[in-house]
Amino acid sequence: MSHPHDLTAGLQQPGSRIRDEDRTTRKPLEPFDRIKLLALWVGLWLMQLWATLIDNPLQTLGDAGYAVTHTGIGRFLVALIAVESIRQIHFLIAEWNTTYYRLWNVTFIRTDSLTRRFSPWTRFRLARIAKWTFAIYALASIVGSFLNLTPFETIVRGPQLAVQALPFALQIVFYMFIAIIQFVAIFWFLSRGGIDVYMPDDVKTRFSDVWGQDAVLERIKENILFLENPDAIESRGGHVPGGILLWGPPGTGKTLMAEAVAGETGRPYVFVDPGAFVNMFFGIGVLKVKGLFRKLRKLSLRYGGVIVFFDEADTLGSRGGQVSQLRKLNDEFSISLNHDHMCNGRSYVSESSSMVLADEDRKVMMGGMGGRSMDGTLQALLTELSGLKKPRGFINRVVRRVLGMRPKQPPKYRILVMMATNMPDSLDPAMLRPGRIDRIYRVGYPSKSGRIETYENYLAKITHDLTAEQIESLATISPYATGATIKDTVNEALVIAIRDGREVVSYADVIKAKSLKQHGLPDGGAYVDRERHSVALHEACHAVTMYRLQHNSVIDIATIERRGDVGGFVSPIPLDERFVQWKSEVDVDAVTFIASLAGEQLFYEGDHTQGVGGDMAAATSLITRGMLSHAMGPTLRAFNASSVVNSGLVLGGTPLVQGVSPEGEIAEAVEKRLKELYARAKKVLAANRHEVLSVTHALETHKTISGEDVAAIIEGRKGPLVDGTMYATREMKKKLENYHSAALAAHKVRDGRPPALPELPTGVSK
Amino acid sequence: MFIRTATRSAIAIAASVLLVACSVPSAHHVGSSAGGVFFNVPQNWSKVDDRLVAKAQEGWSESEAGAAILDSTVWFEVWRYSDSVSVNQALSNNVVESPVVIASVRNLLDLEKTQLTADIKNDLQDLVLPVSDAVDGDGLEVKANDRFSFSGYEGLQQTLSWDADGKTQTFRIVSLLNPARTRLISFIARCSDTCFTTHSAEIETIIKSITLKEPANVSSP
Repeated sequence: MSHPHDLTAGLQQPGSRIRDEDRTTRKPLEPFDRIKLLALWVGLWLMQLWATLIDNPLQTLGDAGYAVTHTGIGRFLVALIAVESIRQIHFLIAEWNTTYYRLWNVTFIRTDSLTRRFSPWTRFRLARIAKWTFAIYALASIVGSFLNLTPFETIVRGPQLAVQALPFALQIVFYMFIAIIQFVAIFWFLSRGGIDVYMPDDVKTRFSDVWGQDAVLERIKENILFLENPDAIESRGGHVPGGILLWGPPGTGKTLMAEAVAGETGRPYVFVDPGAFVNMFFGIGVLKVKGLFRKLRKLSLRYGGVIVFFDEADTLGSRGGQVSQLRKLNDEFSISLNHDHMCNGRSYVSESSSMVLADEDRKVMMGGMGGRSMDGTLQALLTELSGLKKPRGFINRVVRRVLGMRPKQPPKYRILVMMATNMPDSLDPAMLRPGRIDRIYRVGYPSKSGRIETYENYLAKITHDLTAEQIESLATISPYATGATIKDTVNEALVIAIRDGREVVSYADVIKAKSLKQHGLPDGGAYVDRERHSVALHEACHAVTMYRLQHNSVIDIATIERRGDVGGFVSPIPLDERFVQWKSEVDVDAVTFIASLAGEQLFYEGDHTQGVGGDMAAATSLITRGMLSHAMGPTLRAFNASSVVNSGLVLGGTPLVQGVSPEGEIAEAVEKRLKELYARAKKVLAANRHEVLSVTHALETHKTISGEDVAAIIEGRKGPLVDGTMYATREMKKKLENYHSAALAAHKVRDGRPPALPELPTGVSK
Repeated sequence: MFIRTATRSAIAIAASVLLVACSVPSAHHVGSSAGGVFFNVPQNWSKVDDRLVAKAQEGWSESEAGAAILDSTVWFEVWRYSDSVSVNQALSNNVVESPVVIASVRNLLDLEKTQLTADIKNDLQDLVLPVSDAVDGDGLEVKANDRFSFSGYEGLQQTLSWDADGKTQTFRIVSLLNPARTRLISFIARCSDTCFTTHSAEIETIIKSITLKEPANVSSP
């Protein structure tokens, strides 16, 4: 006995349900299911009866019923009621009588076995004939009722009626055609634009115009060779590589390379604008893609090959999370782009570990990035790049089939797809798979020899007096210069020369131009004398420490000219492109930062300005990050660098991992290390007291000096702007000490006036 | 319990429907909602096909008056006892040996409306057939001419005897004018004298079954 609140009462036990083939009678119908259709048909019939009674006051109920039954709809309803009644009686008997149920099932099994004799294809055709027959009969009945013809007569006269109705049908077709053509015209106009075709010789740029990217250029030339002579690879069972992706920082010459390809090749060149597939209306992008590839196939057949270039390919978008299973490819980019270098990337760890590390990066670097290109444009492009190879053309597909011929397979379309982007992470991984993009080349910053060549070529276009050594020096101090930045620097130098009324561009002009481009225009405001000295001393401490300790970089410029919130700075330039940094180098970097505090306290008898705050924060960050991320501290633990920064751990945020507290061992270790480095900085500065005061004087005098001038002052030789030999005299040493002592005294009394800046001995250039 | 009752009711109604579908009605219930008139016709009588009637009336539109009356006709039906009477015979003055009933509803023409007087008996006498002109000649004899009122309608019952071509036929005419005096409802039952006597009971049944119902969708002019 079930409990009144037992919700499972009345439910069948799992597995207790009888199999249909084991039943001896039909499963009883629910009462509602038994009467629902009957009730519906009877209800409709009663409504007809009611209407008849209302309509004619003389009608009796019986006569009205008779009248309703003898109308068209009445007959139909009575027929339905009769059929439904018979069906329900049949069900009822089958539910109660085993013999009847079995007999009926046997009949059905026999019918089934009869139909099973036919193949599914024959059954489908028979069903289709039956459906068409019914449809034709129904149509003939309707048309016949209008024409007072029987359905059979209507079918017989069908062709004649069709011919009679032809003008009307054509009129309807014409109206539909007009309506459709409007849409076609609108979409046709909207799908224009964004795609330019250049024929051979239209573009003048050549491979010789691309400087500093020889390695990539050689590879691209190889692709062009295969496109020009496909037999070279196809006759040996290969295929012409169909896609090239050029990725790298902006201005490194990716587009120039593509332009050079257009100039060098004997094939048509199709340039796709970055915004070509950005559309107002849904579906236009798909039409554009299809239109583009129709054009490419046509050009390919006509000229034997074609090159298509998608500039800023990242605008093509990505499907975001939908392709997360393919993110490994993206991780390769992430590793290359991530400044947190890891030896050998992640390739030596398992895939799952690699994914975990990649996800950690993604939380910081890619968090919030959603998918785009959900309007089908990207998908259409993917399909066109490597989709179904289907027969094309109306004659090929339709006419040949009508004539009983198989359509011809599509010919080999030799289409070389080139893409350029500086955001490879934004590309859909599916687009980068082999078969679509076969080759992926990183177009990095030009090498030193490339930069020299680039400088030489751009300088060759103007009048200048730079020597080969100076050009090499320029290339050395421009490690991350691209073709675009070099071109811009040379042009800016020319502007400076023209402004000064000179015909010839000098080395100093290029240096000034480079400084201007790299660091921007100074604000032009002047310091009060006492502050000028302290700012110059601050920067001189950085410069001297850097000069004495840094062996992998040189000073680009040192300046005390204000730029916004920055009072002055010393800018280093790495001597060569490095992949990893050693602990000793991190320490030197930190010492260089700390030198400002150490120097100010050394020269100002323990006092220092707020200006050291930024330097100390940077030093703290460097040391902390080195300890947490790169095992450069007392522990062996290391965490992903970006996670460390993001978690705020560097600045004392929440511990990344339980047990690692910035207030604890790491914080103490960082403080200890900073103190050690402070002592080292102070020692270096004390040993170079005169050099610091000399550079301070030069900065106060010239505001901005080059790294070569700093070196010249420290080494006591002649620099491009400053003659360092003048600082090496005993007299000058004494003057500088006196000057600093006077400035210190003025600082101590706060309102004291500092002495005038000592003059250099005669012959010092200004 | 409710489901069981409903099931039984539905089955009973379905059975009733099927029974009714197989039954035979007592009479033809004829009428027009638009015309606002209904009457019963014995089951053994038959209606003349509307298309045949319309075809027979095509000749009427040749005259201006005939065309005007056709245009103003709201409803028109012809019933006959036997198929031996053709449509043309039924709609003509020819003597028929089997009874025919012509029922119609039409709006009065503007001219007819202006000619209506207070003497409704006199007005109605000639609206269906030109009795006044023919009464003193052409062998027409008015046997009964009774005015009556019915639900605001004013009516006239006439029994006419008309000798033509050596044969006498009897007309039983009922004409009704609506209260607004804009619509005329008329019944003409006729056949030869002998035939009329034989079928007088059926004809009277038809006449007595006439029921008026103000049409909902016909606005008075």
